[in-house]
Amino acid sequence: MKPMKADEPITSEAAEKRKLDTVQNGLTAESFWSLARYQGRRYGVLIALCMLFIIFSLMEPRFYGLKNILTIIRQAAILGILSLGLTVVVISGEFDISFAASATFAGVLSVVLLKNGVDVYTSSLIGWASSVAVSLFNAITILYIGIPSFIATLGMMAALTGISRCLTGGATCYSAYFPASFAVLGRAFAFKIVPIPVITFVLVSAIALTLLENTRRGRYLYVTGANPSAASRAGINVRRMKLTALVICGLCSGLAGLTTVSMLGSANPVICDGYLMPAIIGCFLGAVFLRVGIPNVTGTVVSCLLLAVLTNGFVMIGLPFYMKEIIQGIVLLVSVGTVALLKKGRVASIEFGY
Amino acid sequence: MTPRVLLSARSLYKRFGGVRAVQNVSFDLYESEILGLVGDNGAGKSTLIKIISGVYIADKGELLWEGRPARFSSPRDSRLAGIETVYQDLSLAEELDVAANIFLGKELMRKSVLGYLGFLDNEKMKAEALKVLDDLGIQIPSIHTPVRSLSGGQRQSVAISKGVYWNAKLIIMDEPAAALGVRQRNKALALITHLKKRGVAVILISHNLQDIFSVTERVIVMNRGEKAGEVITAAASEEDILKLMIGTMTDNQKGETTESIKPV
Repeated sequence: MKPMKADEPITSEAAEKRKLDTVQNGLTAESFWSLARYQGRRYGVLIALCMLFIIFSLMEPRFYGLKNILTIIRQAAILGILSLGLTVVVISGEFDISFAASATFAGVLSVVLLKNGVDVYTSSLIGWASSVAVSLFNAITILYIGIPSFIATLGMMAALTGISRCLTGGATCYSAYFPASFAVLGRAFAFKIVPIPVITFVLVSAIALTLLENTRRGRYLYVTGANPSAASRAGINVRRMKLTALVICGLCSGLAGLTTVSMLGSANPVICDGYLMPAIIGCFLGAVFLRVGIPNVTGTVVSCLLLAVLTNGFVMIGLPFYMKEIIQGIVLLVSVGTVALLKKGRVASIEFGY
Repeated sequence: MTPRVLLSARSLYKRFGGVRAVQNVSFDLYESEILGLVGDNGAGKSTLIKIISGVYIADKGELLWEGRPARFSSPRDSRLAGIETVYQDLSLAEELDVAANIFLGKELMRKSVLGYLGFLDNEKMKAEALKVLDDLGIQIPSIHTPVRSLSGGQRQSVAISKGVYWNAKLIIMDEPAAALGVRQRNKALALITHLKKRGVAVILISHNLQDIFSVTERVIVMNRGEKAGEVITAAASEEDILKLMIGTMTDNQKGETTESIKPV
C-alpha cells in the first residue's frame, strides 16, 4: 500500500484508486482507514441521516411514531420535488432561484380560479401550465437574451411574489366550498396509510433517477453543465438541453405548488417560500453524496429526508425556532465548502458569470 | 507497394479581414504517414488544420480526400470522412468516465424498445472501450473513474482512442504533448507511432522539435501563412527547420540575404 504523496489530490477518485490498490495488495490498517474515509465521504449524508434519526428518537419517543414518520416524509415530499427540479437545472449548468415563487404562484392561481367557479381539473391544469410558462420565460431571458441565470430568475422571483400578492389581495384565499377532489393531491391516502404526496415524490424521484442515469439525454445534460464546449463539439444542442432542464424545474414547481395548496386547503402569497432555502440546501448537500461536486438525484432525495428529519426533530425536542435557520445556513456552507475543498476550488455548475 | 495519397491540399488560401492566415499552401499526405507541422506563432498551422477538419472553409484552393474533392463545411463532415482532431484541451467531458467519453455523441443504445426511448447500453460501451484501450496498449487504472482524475497523458490516450474507435483514417493532433511531463510525453509519442502501425495517418503540430524529430517522417514548415518548406525528417537537422521557420535571414550590415534552404 503506497503512502499518499504530498501532491496527490485528495479526491474521492484518488481514494478509489487506492481502494483498487487495497484490492490488489490486501487489506492493511492503513488501507482500511483510507477506504473508510473515502466511503464515509461518499455516504456521509446517509450516515448523518441515520444518526440524527437515532438521536432524535432517543431524545423524544414520539419521534419514531408512525404518525410522525409519515409527517416527516410528507414534509420531505414537497421539499424533495422542488429540490429535484432545481437539481436538474444545476446539473445543466444554470441556476433557478424562482422555483419556490413559481410553486407559490401555481398554487395561488389554481385556488383563485377554483374559488371563482372553475372546476378542479381545469384550475389545476392552468396552475401547472403557469409554472411551465414561467420557466419558458426564464429560458428566454437566460438563453436568448443572455442574462446570467441567477439574476434572471431572481428578477422572476420578485415579480412572481408580487403577482401572487396581487391575486390573493395579500390575504389567505380560502373557501368552505372547495370540492372534495381538491384535497386528493395533498391530503388523501393510498392503501389507507400512504399519503399521496409521498407517492408523488417517489414517482418523481424514480423518473428523475432513471432519466438522468440511464438515458442518453440524461448523460448529455451532465456534459452540458460540466463542459459546454465539449458538449457542442460532440453535437449536443446545449441551448435545448438547458431549456429542457428549466421546463422540468417548472413542472416540478407546479406539482409542488398544487400539492401544497391541496394540503393546506387554501392559498396565500408565501405558501412555498419556506421551501426555498431547504430545497437549495438539499440540492447542494446532495452534491456531496456519492459523486463529489456533482448534483445527483439520490443525493438530493437523501438530503431532503435529512432536512425534514432535522426540522421535525428540532420541533419535537423543543429547540427554538431560529435554530433551524442557523443550522440550515451552516449545513449549506459546510456542504458546498466540502465540495470546494475536495475539488480544489471549483464547484461545477455554479458559476455566476456577472 | 507505393503508399496512396490520403489528403491533398492545393493552393489553400484563407483570409481574416486583412490577415492572410494561409496563403498558397499545397501538400500531400500519404496513408499511415506521420507528418509534422511546425511554424512560429501565427504561422498559420492552426488555421490550416481547421480548414482540413472543417472548422473553416478555405476562401480559395481545394482539398482532395482519398482522391476526391472534399468540401468539409463543418467538423461533423470531416469526422464522417474519417478525420478526427485532438485539440489541446482534448474536448473531453471531465465528469464522465472513459467509455462515456469515447462514445460521446454516438452512444450505444439498448436493443429493445428501451433503446428507442433513449436508454444507454452501458455494459456494451464499457466492454468496447476496454477493447480499444487494450488494443492500443493503454493502461487506465479503472474504467469507472471520471476522466477528470486521470493524468494528462492518460487523458490524451482517451482522446486518441476515441478517434481510433471510430475508424479515423487521419488524426490531427494540435500540441498534444504541451501539458505533459517527460514520461507521459514519451508514452504519447509511442502511441502515435503505434497509430502508424494501425494504418492511421497523423498530422502532428508541435513547438517541441525534439518530439517532431522522434516520431515524424516528414515535416512541413510554415511561415507567415505560407509553406516555407517541406523536409524529410531523417535528412534534416534542427537548424534547417529553424531557418525555415524564421524565414529568409537578413545580414544587417551588408543588406545581403542568405538563401533559404530549398525544400527537399
